[in-house]
Amino acid sequence: MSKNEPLFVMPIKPVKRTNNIAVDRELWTGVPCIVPRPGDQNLPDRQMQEGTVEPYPQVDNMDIDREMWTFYTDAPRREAPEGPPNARRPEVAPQKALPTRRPPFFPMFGERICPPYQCPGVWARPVHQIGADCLGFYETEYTLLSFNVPDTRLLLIEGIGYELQDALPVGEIFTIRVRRNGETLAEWQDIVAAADPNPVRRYAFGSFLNPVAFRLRVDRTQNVTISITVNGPLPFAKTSADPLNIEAKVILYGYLDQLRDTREGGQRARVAGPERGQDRFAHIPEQAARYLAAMPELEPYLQEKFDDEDMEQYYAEMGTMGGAVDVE
Amino acid sequence: MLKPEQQLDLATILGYLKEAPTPVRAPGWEDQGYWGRPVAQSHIRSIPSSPLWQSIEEVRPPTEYNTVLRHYVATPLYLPYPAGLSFRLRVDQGILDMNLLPGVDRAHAGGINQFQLVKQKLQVVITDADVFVMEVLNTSGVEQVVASAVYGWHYYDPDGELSGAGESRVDAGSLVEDLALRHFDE
Repeated sequence: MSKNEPLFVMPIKPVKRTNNIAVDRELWTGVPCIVPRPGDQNLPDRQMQEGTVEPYPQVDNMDIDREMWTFYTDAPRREAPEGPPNARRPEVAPQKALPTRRPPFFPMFGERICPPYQCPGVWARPVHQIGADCLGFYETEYTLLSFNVPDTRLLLIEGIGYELQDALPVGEIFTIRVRRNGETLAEWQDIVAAADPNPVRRYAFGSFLNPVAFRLRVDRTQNVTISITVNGPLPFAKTSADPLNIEAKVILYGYLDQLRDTREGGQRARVAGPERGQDRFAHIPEQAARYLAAMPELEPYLQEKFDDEDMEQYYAEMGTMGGAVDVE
Repeated sequence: MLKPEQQLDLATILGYLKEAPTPVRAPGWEDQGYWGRPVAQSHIRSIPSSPLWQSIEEVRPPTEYNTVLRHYVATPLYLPYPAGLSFRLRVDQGILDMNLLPGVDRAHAGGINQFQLVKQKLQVVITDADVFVMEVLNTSGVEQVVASAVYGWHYYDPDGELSGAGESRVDAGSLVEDLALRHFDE
């Protein structure tokens, strides 16, 4: 490469000028005008001075909205009234003075919370309580787990699982009983159904990992016990004199929810709430006073006389309850 | 129409609802209530061969309770499933289902039951005047060991009717619908 040879030769083709300055520039330079070249800015002016091209519109001078919406024909807006045919036709049904509307009564429904006896709340603690005991004899009931619910909590049991020592052979049937304050609420049988070392696959109905679905509410200060009785294989020939000597474990899954007395759908004080049958509405005057103190501007609306007839006329004229349309 | 003092009461209640989270309990046929009691019973029985249907599970709601049953298990404990063994579900004298699926085990293709047994879906709501019975007919000629279970709950409903029957399920209630929503909501 010689010293005087240029690195890049711009291909310039001598072509006839057109009427379009953009085309001209392309043809004369042969390259897209990406890079601004000297003289580009005043090129139109210069050519305008020469009288060779017509000025093309500058963007700033264009009414873009008008250019884009030239096809649009403005039409008068027509309303489609809802409800009765004469609604909002003052020439047919003259509009009457509307009754005073109340202000909208903002959150009419508060947050929905689940009562603690149906699902755990924010402050609930999980419970996975394990009880174990050695079962000495057949046909003898052993209490594996006894759980006293504290004074400020409510226990919601969601499942009960159990495991027995592998020494208990296949075919042995045992009975689980659940008592609340001594009252038997459920009683079911299970069997060591397979000699699988995996305890999940060892029993027919329940295990630690697949507990028996068992929903029970145990209120504060109540007691729940889970007991087991090994009956032996079919037919039940074992007696309480037959020794057994295996270990059994039971687990209780559930929640200890903070106590809020929601019996009968109420939401009373958690610990010292009124008992069933007492006046559950004694707090309403206090609440009324509190409410009116917080929003005194609502009081005239609450005291206002308001009849059904007024509302019927109003709704008949409106056509529908919520169909208010802004009239320009 | 409400009297002014009644309106005040209503506004009080609404304001109370605004102030406090509203405890909305699911109805008893959807979830167990405070007075609810569990139904969890299962049995392993040896069923002799007989031309008669034999009861293996029976659920009677306590007085003033209704009962929802959600799951059941009805299967011979060990496979293969013997010919001549069949189950049925009954409410009072009406037969709910005669054709219970034989494959209530988890994977019976290999010829053995794998435990734990699979609970089949069920949806039965009965009153305390009704009784739910699961029955088995064993005409196989030999004794069969059968596993059966029913899971659900009793819910307190002193009306003695199935709640919600004949009522719209979307209404919030006549009080709110007629009095509150109509005049206060916009």
